[in-house]
Amino acid sequence: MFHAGAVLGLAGDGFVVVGGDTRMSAGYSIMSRNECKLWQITDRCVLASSCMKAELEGLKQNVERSIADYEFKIGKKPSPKSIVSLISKTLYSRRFFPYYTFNLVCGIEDDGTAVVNSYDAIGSYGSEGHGAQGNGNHMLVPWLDSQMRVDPSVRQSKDKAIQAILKGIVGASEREITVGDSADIWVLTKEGVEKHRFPLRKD
Amino acid sequence: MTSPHVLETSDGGFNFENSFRNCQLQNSPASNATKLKVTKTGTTIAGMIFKDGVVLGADTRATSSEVVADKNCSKIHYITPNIYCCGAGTAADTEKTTDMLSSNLTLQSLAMGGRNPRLIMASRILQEMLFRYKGQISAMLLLGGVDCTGPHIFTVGPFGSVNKLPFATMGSGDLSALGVFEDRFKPNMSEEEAKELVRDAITAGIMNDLGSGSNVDLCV
Repeated sequence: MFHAGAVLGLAGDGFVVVGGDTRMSAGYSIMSRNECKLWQITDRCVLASSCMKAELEGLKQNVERSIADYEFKIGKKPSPKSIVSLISKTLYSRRFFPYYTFNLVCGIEDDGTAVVNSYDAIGSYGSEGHGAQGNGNHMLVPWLDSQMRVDPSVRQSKDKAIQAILKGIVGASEREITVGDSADIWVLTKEGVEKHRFPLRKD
Repeated sequence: MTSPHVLETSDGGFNFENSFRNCQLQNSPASNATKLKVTKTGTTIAGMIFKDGVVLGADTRATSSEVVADKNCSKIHYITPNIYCCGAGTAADTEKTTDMLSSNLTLQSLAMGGRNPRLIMASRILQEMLFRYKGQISAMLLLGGVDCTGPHIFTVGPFGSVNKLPFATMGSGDLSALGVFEDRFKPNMSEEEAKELVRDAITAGIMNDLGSGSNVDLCV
């Protein structure tokens, strides 16, 4: 039982809503109630990760170094598409001693399309427009699937998308012991990132 | 005179046919062998003696590995009108063990002419049964009640060990709750103080232990 938690993301028309809880637990104890699982890679791209914290730090350092290299050589920040493929390669580079991280990379491309990609621990990713990782994912993935089916207008409205993500995390915190404390919900648009935090059950 | 016990106790020796079968099932490579996933009550239960009696407390969350199976289950079980028991461990085990204890004690009390059964009898019955099963029955029980000799609290472990204490906690949140008890327990507290103390102890367990949560049940 590692540091865990839940992260989920939903891509809409020109925006992405990413959510993650803030509880870091080890076994049956709580290490921290205030550990952010969302990392802003560039101003258009966010990494959400439910994982072992030490591995995430290692992955972040690796990715930051590659991005600094890219900026130096190419002269501009990498697009979300490049970052998605960079993270996949970084994860696969440790195919036989994997980064123990379960990631979601979300971003807004230059032309305004929103993407959400879910990764497994060794770099295989799929782009479906919504995804969830971590301990709550067996509840969150069906929740997101059903939200899309029942009300496709969720993809058009930022408020509805935020509500869908928030309800998903609240539901996961009710039934998963490692999810709780508070929920970080970030909304990415072409203009930048809007960050919100909502309280969740603390027990 | 025939034994008033509901279950016929075995004649001697241990009977572990089922546990061998369970091990084989768990280790079997067959893809349709179901992995036994039990509902455990990763729990905080606590009890203490105050001036005139006993206060028992418990949280209300039941988990099945990491998922919450029941957000509001009842962990304080009725045994007899003067004895109640909190249970931690596998939910089915605590339910059945306390049911059996309740039946046996009721029969015993009828055989004794309607007198209230003593806690020492309850703890003895539990101890004998749990020891016979050598820990296969994963029930950690905290018995509390008032009988003709006064208020008592007994804890019974899954292997059959018994402790008689002025205050006790069990379950995955036991250390969090015990911290609160160690800080504020005094002998001969009043009922209100005792209820507050047990409530605070269980709350500490709920907040700091992931296996416990939701509400606090109290029984005086």
